[in-house]
Amino acid sequence: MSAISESSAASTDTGKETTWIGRPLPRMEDQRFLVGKGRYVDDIVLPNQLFAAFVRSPHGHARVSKLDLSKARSASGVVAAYGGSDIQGLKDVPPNWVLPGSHVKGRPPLVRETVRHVGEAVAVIIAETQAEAVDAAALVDVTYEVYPALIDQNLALEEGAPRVHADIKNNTATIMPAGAGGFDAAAAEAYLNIKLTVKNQRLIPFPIEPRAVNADFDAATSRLTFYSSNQIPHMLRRMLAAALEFPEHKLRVISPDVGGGFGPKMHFYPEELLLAWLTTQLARPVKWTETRSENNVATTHGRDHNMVADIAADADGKILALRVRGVANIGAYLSSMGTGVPTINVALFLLGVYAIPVSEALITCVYTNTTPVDAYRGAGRPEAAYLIERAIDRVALELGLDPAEVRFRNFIQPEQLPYRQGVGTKIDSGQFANTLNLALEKINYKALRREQEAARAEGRLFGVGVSNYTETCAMGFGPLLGAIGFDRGGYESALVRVHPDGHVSVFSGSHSHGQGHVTTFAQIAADSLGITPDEIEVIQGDTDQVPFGTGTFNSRSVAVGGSAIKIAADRIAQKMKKIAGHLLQSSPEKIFVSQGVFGTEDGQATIRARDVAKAAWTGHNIPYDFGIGLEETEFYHPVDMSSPYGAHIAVVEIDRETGEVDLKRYLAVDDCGVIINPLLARGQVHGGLAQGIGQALYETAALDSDGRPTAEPSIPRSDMLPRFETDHTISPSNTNPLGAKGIGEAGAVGAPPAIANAIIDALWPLGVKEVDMPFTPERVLNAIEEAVGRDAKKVAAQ
Amino acid sequence: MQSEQSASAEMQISISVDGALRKLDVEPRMLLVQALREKLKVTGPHIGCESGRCGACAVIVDGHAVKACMMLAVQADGKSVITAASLSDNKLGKVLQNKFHEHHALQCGYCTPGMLSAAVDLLANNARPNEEDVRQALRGNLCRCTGYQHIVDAVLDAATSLNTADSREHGVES
Ligand code: FES
Ligand code: FES
Repeated sequence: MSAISESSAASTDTGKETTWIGRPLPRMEDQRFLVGKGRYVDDIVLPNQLFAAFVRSPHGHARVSKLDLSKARSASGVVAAYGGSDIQGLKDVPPNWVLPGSHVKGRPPLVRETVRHVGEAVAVIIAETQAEAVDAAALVDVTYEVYPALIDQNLALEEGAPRVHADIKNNTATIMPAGAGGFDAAAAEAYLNIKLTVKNQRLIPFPIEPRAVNADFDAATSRLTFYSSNQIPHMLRRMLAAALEFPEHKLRVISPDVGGGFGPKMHFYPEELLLAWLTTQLARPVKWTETRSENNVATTHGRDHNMVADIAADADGKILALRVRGVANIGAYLSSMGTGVPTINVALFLLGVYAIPVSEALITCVYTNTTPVDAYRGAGRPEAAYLIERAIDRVALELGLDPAEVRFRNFIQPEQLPYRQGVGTKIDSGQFANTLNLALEKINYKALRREQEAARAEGRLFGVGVSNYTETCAMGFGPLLGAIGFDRGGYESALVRVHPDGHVSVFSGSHSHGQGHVTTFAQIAADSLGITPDEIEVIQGDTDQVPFGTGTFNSRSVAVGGSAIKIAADRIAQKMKKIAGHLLQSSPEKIFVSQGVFGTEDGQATIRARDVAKAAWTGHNIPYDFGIGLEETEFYHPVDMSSPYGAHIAVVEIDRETGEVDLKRYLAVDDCGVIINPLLARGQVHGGLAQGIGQALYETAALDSDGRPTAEPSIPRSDMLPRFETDHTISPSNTNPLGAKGIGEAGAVGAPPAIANAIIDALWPLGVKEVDMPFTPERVLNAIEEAVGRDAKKVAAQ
Repeated sequence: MQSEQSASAEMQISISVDGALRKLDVEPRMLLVQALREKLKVTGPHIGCESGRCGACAVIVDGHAVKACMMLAVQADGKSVITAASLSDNKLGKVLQNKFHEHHALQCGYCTPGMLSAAVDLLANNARPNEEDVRQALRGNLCRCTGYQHIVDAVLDAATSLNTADSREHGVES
């Protein structure tokens, strides 16, 4: 931990000493995974199991003129086959976040007539075995009338562009303005005016476990048990019940171990609605596991947002005004978070951690013939951070100032916090200058700049890039979500139960897909209850067991879900003290608990937690009005969200001949508030960085003119990433009782701009001002050649 | 389909899986990973791509890490297959599992059985790898969660602790 932390990791903002919070405890859930006994959806085979296979369109835009299922239907082992006309009663899968005023097109369970993106399902085959389903799918006879596909969102907006949906003008799903305006007036007075164009390319999220579903309707009880590899089981239950018109209390969603989520596994998909419907029709369980090639086109993509910014600054590099126009590709249909991510999650955070007096933004969401785009690690905040961090650097480079110095000049100052940004968000806490200073010291920034000078003298391309990303996490506050059309609660559930033998079950509405909740949540409850984490079991992912929750996304599990656990466990601890006080003939305020033993202040009398628990559950020896039991449920509903932020620094050297980028160093100093488990927090930082660096250097969906990914996504391998350097400052959030902020997405938000800035810093002397991600050798070389060629032409013209 | 006849003609094979001899009937086209998962209910090897890219399916066949989606079940006839379930029967596997745990080298756990197989193969062939060796040896195994650093650290630490234990056993100072 760094010296400038406002508080040590071993205590929360309440100043209370903690025993378990702050410890780098290895995970309690590891064992089953290490011996290959994790239980993922595909590992579950039910009695009487049926299997589904899909026939998918290879075209981005087409009309299905013929669909003949007869051969498939008579193939060996086939139980049923359905095309779009066989499922008339089924609705389209609706989005769950619809910005008011949006034109909504949900995802059809099967193509009804028009194909609107590559990978859209045209038919489904149900058979006795997986192999029979796949074999029969190959026998389906489909004729497509193929039309040109609309892939690029800017082209889709052009006058006269064909329509993706006949009744939606200009292919526009929504247009959202933000900020108070006034840019032109501010710009007229400014010393420096710059136009900056940036692109966040389309990404394929690529969890190593693809999606998987097993739907099991029991006609005898009219109950539907629905297994899905999913991040938000209760929300899935709500969405599925509504779309299927199935009573929610008879629908049980189970999400067992999830092999990576990163956003796409919180969306409600056509295959899910279809399988749930099929099991009710066939009265047998139906299972489907996505293949990798299906995952590449049928699971939602991320980002794909083009932006143009106008920046006005004074001669000292202080940004006076910012105007951003964003055009976001949302694909062929609205997926679950629909128009919310590219608008709210981008516009609100466009000013980063800087006090910029004048701002305005306008974001347009555009339908195209591509796979729907939805939340992917960072979900809008990477796009916002990329824009503002590139803007800061550009101002610095144009003025010949140091980019770090320009950041100090623009930061929101500590005394201004909490700070309401002109575009809407509220930054709750932070020590931005301290965090950047720590990063600069740790990487020895001054020495790096000297190294750069020396490298430049030798003609080498050496660059240093800084980013001071922020994001807003720990999503909360229902009324606000309602106002922006997000049909979810902003709370999280926890149920804490102390058993008569003193052991504890914690049920949480959050759901881990690798984050390690079983350990962090147990650490939180252990501190409240005065026991050890290994006496606690954390249960998640089953709507029949867990109180109605919201789920895991937006880096909210610790700050909101963990707070719910703390509050519930604290209440139980109070009751246990009351009982212990009674049994020890002392007042509850004078009772202390430690290591599973309650005792009086003077240490004279003690009683074990299990004896207190037994008294609570038997009602023996305690007053009647104490009530029975040790069980508390909390729906923690934060009023405000938290603002994690950080200072990241990337160091690159570029090969002038090949354009290859060598990412020599990467330092991340993050401030995610109070850290429950530093080991796991570091794991989250690393994972986010790998995806952020992946976006910067390697990854793109690279769609062809039909909307088909042209290559397998270039997911970083072990030899493609540097050794990460990490540290933290700790500014506790005052938005929740733990003081936590969220860390899951930090790396994915912070890394792309840090690397982009380093690359442009390296190339600036050659005249390169803009390059787009991913910074492949080819692109970097093209940028160099173009800039050098431009200069050569200028010289020739003189 | 023409292949229907041959596809349905099953062959009997026997494989030693995690130390137990298992007899099973498979179609000739069935992949080893499918046979393990579907026929034998050994679900440690996971499927992430079925095309040899991700390594989630990797197991140890006759002492070498093999991607079980790149091998037909019939090709494993008469061979020995070790999956994560029995890795701890040998010291190398056990130490690696412990180090993965200590270093937080797994998050969702989906890549973990395959990663462990690749790591066992590496350390069996190179007792003193450096970081670069480890990163090269694991390049056939994708992990989308960890960013690899904790995995690399776990493997390096496992090598160190195995070497220390070895030199202690042989009375060598190192
Ligand atoms: S499933 Fe075998 S390598 Fe991916
Ligand atoms: S731990 Fe999730 S893919 Fe490696």
